[in-house]
Amino acid sequence: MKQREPIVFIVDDDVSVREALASLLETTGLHAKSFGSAEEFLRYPRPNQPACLLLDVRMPGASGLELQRELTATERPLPIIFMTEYGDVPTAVGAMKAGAVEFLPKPFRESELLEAVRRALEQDRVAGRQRAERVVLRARLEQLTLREREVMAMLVQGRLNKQIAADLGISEITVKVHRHRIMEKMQASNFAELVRMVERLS
Amino acid sequence: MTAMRETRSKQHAPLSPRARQSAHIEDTVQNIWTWNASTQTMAWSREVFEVLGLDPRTTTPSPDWFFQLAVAGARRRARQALREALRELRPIEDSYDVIRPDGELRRLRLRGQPLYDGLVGAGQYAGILLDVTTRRQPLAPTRRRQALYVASIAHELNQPLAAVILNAQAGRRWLRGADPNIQKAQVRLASIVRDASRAADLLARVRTLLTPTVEPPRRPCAVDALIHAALRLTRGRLRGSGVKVRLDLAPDLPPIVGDSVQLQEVLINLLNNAIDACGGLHERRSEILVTSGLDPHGGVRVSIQDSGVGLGQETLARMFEPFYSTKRHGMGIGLSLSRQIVARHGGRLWAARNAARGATLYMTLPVQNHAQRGPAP
Repeated sequence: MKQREPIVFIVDDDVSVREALASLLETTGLHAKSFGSAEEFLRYPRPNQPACLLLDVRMPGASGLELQRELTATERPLPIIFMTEYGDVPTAVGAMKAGAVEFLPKPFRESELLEAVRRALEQDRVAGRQRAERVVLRARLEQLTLREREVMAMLVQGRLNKQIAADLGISEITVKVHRHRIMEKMQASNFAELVRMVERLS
Repeated sequence: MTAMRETRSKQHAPLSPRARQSAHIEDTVQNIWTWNASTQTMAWSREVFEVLGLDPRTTTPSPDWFFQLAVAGARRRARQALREALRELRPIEDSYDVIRPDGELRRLRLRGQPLYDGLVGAGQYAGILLDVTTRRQPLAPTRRRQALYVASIAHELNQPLAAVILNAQAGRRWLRGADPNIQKAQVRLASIVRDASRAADLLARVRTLLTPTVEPPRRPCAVDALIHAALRLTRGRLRGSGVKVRLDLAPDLPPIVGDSVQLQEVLINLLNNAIDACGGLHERRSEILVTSGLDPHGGVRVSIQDSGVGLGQETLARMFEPFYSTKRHGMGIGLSLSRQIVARHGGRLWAARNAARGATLYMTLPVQNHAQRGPAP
């Protein structure tokens, strides 16, 4: 799956902090885009590239946790690294439970930041690949006839050609033909791969 | 100061008739503040200064003062809300808690609205600031109040400090490697200057809250009288701690010039620190030696030497910084305030480790006829 250059979004109400963060990320060749508020960030269209979000928990307007809730509800949840005051344990716990990648108490070390960003981007890359894969698999699935889908479901459940033929009231030869078509249309090189594909689709 | 008074009276005149039309302003017509969007200036009535516990003679009204004392958490939100309201000339209504310089927890209600009725008052904004603390609201115990206050300052300082660290790290990375990017590093350095100044400004504001704002009366005073007075006032603690005090005071020292109350406070503070330093040892032979004499560089020198735990490298370097403390319940303000008071008197305050054990704090103060010369070198 070819993917474009990653981007790191920064949401912090302190202009100095976000400029410094963007510059720090730039030194590692990462592209960053910063916003002064959650609202501003939400208005920005999400580009189709691996991304993560560096988010200040405490901001005027919608708080970091509110933004997290909103983003988690979308189809493409964005990995979030939270930044907050040192010692704000309750917020940290809440954010981690809600699926934050990392929680960085300000001020933090550059190594902690860069490591967290690297992990968050990797997480999004993997998620992106999986999403793309599902799209492809779903398109292949669309090509199957209803009967073929029926047969495929039975096959991955581990039923034998003979049993399937009996269940559906067709000949074993016909089941074999279906099976061949299924493997062809799903572009599975062997049966084990077909099983994995079906797992991924469900 | 006069400039502020003028602004206030100028803005008061067009405001009053309008204020009378508005019920909630009428009830509390004294607690009024106004904002002039074209000049970006604010004016307060005397009652607003009182609510905030600020001195009208030394405080220039600004929206930020409303939230300077707000408890951590509320501050950023409330300040942002007011800024937006003033910028967009929208009405505002907000309540938040503050901890005043005297340590009292108060609940304030802030209201404001733009004043444009056709022709008059475009860009003018007026509001009230009320203390709505109810009797039922229990006052926090002293320690809790101090902790809250320090926490709120720490919270506010954290942003510029985080920015300084990030900028320094980014700058260092831009300079690293075979092809350093000097320009980008320079931008980071400029940011560091800006952020560190922000932190310094914050501390300066905190300082004005914590130090007496009135210029102290300058009168000649005898150093040994100050020392004896300070010892009298720490007698109780000294007795309780079992620490002995030895005096070695030079006779016939020239009088120094200053505020005897403030200088006594400095001495009491130094004595208390010395007692605390000895306290950690659980030894009965702890001793504090107080000396006075002429300073080789001019003026009078007082030293307070303890035989206590002594000073670590870090403590020695940082002990005069505000909010630096090695004591479990210390605010870390005593020595930094003491140094300011001494500096305002044209003197110096510093610390040194003793050869044997413990530490010595030295204070120099200029004598009467040299008082105009400013700080000793």
